Amino acid sequence: MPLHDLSYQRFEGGRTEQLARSLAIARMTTSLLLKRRSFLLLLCACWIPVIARAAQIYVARYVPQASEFVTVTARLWQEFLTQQVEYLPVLLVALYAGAGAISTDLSSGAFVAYLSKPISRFDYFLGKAIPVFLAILVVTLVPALALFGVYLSVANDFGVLETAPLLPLSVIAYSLWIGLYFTVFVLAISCLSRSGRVAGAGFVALALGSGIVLSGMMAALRLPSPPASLSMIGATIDSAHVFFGNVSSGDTPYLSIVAMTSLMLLSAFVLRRRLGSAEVAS
Amino acid sequence: MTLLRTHNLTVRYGNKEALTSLSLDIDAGVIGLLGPNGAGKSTLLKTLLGFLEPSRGSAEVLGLPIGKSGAALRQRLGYFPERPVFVPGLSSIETVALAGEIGGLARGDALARAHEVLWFAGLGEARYRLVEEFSTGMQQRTKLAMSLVHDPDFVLLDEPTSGLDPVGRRQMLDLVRQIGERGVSVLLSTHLLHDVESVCDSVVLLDKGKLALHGKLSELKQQPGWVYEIRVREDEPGTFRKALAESGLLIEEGRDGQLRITLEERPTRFLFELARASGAEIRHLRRFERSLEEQFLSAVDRDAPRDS
Amino acid sequence: MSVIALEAVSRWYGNVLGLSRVSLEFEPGVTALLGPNGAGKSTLLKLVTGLLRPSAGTVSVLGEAPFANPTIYARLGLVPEEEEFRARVSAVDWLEYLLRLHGFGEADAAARARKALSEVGLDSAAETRVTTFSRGMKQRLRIAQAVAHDPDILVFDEPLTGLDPVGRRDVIDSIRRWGSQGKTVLVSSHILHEVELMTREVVLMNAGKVMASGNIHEIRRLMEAHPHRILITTPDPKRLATRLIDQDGLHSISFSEERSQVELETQEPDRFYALLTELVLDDAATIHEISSPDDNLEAVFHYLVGK
Repeated sequence: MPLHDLSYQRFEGGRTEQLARSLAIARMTTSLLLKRRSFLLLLCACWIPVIARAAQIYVARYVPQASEFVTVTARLWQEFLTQQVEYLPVLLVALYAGAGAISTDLSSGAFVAYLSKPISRFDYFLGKAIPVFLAILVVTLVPALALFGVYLSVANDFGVLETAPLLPLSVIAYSLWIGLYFTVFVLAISCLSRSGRVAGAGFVALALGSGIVLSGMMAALRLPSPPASLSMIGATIDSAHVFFGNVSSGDTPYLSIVAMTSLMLLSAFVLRRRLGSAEVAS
Repeated sequence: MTLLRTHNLTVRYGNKEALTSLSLDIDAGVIGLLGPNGAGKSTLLKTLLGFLEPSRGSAEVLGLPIGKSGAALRQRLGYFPERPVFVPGLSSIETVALAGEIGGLARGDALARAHEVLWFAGLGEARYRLVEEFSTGMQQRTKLAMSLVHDPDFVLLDEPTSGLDPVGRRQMLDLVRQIGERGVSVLLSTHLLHDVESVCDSVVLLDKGKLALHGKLSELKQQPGWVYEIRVREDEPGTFRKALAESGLLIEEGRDGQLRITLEERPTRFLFELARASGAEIRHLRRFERSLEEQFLSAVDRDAPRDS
Repeated sequence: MSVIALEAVSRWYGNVLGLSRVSLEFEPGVTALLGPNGAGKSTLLKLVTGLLRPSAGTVSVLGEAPFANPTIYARLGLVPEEEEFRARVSAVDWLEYLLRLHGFGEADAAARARKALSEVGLDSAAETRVTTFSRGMKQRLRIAQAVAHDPDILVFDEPLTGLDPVGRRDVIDSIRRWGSQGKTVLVSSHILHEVELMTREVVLMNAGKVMASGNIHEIRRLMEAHPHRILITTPDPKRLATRLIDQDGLHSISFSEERSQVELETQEPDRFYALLTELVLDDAATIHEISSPDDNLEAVFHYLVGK
């Protein structure tokens, strides 16, 4: 019978790829989020509009009397997604999952511990971005695809898809666009403060405030209301027209795309500067 | 084997030069990193980890240049930060396993290794509890496990015994010693010179961003000549001292009621005779070693204004 | 009468025990309070400084009960473990303000503030805002704050926390100086070898009780459960070991030719040392070094507190 050495041992096994390390952070962050009942409740609440839309599809098919004013067109998916932004589900989910994502790590010392490991700052960012991105998709892309399922199961033809064959692609692209936009922005706000609350307040103020303050100012000066591209939510809704191919009905959709891209680049710049700075690593 | 080599390394921190043209050549082993506040110890650690970029000069750790090597170098480094570390909502075992995964271990390996290093760090059943609720001692053990979980070849420990009571401190130092015995090099940054004396082979002393002293501990402590510390138990205090003085020996006051005497050779029966004649009994007789503190205080500029 | 006297003092926090039937007396000079975390050191210091009222028993400081007693506060200086400075004022203004609260006149307060700052080596930072101080500087200021009104009793809770070796040396020297000036100084600390540099008078605590108090070497002598370890360096360890082995009172003996050492354990160190002198003088044994690795605070602490 051998004697076993229980003192400090070296590790003999193999090493994983770089991406697996980001995914480890993402998985842990996600599982911590899902442990919070309030977050699950929030996700459920964000699905209430989905039920309403499913009902709309059902009524349009089975209640002939209603078919005059309840119709199902490609417009339904665009409206559903923009309303998820306009009536705040996307904002709330980004706030909940993202505002504290980096700030808590800065205040709890976890950031320094992560970065002392063999990962780059981008790997770290990826690990933090994936959960927020996924959470946003859970209230945008996932329900939008589910509505296709409902539509196909109740309709006896492919009506909508015949007139707009690219609709699924539009839905996917626009959802990813919203997800990317809010993820990058909320994380940029999050990395600026060591307090999740402060970061959350800053995020809400900028996301909602930008539109409200601007319209208020314009109204007070008796000027026409400002272009949608100047408010975060307005721009997000306006940009949908580009993805769904009805540019003419938008306000200034291309300008909105440019405004959103600029904000994302600015956020990326902030993240790069801040995560790379010496002061957060102390 | 060279562990760490820097050449004219200059690093700015904020608007101040924290390391100034530092050139070092350190061999593998357990090394004490000392210096007054603001000497640049933490800056050196952060530069080695790639958190700070040198404005001039270069450094090589384990044969890899810092900066460029980034992740490849950190794969072989472990870091024990001074400040507390926790992930809200995670138990000690989850935290260490996560650190292992980020350190490049597969999920199953990371969990097994996390249990192993936490066991080694002496955390026992507490490893299933939340780190944020831990006492200082248990937090320090968790941090040690986090720094070791991905099996580094070189660990940087920043004040690992701070906030520990004597029992915890002794255990922590014992762990550091064991890590060193397994061939892992250690850079121990601390204010407690006694900790360095008890576990380190060599010492690096920084002052105002520059190297003030570097050498093997045994050589630094050696006092030339035959200087001995002696303590006696005597019927009448002072008699023995007088007898020593009368015999023409050089006497100084030592620590803890001891006398420091300079002999011409190793002690002989002469001392014992002298003791008996003056009604004393030798209770302690030992070759005098210079203390690290003495060397520290003479090597640094004591009157410099200090910040940070 | 002792400067500080505790008689069967207990203190609970709800169900949690802080201190249990402790009787102690403190005289002028430096006394160190030692023990693991949760031993009751901080509770004891708070009782002595009148920040807490005992649940049972009596505490007397300079003959009076210290709790909520301004007369005692005036003669007592406390350096708390950690406490933030929130006032946005300079160090010297802060001290002057505190001294005015103690009832000193304007000029007197200014002079004392300067003196206290210079005593802790903060002269050059006197005009600097306290909120910008480093950890080490704040610790020095806490000490200046405690000694500025020249109290008879000084109480330090972990005074070396956050200090670098230069600062530690300065504070240790100050503590010794105040002790030798006749002040009664109580110090709690975890760094045992630094305590040894301040004093040999200690109070060892564990689980709310006093396990031992007095001179550290005397305490060691009384600990019969742990035989004394003695190390002897000699050119011929085998011969010395052979000579010692048939002596009474030795627990164990071992030798190493390689290290030229004999190591032994004895319950009766006094008798052994006498024997050793005889061996050298009457039996021509050569001895180069004698030391007792467990006759120090570190060893006593670990024997008594265990683990």
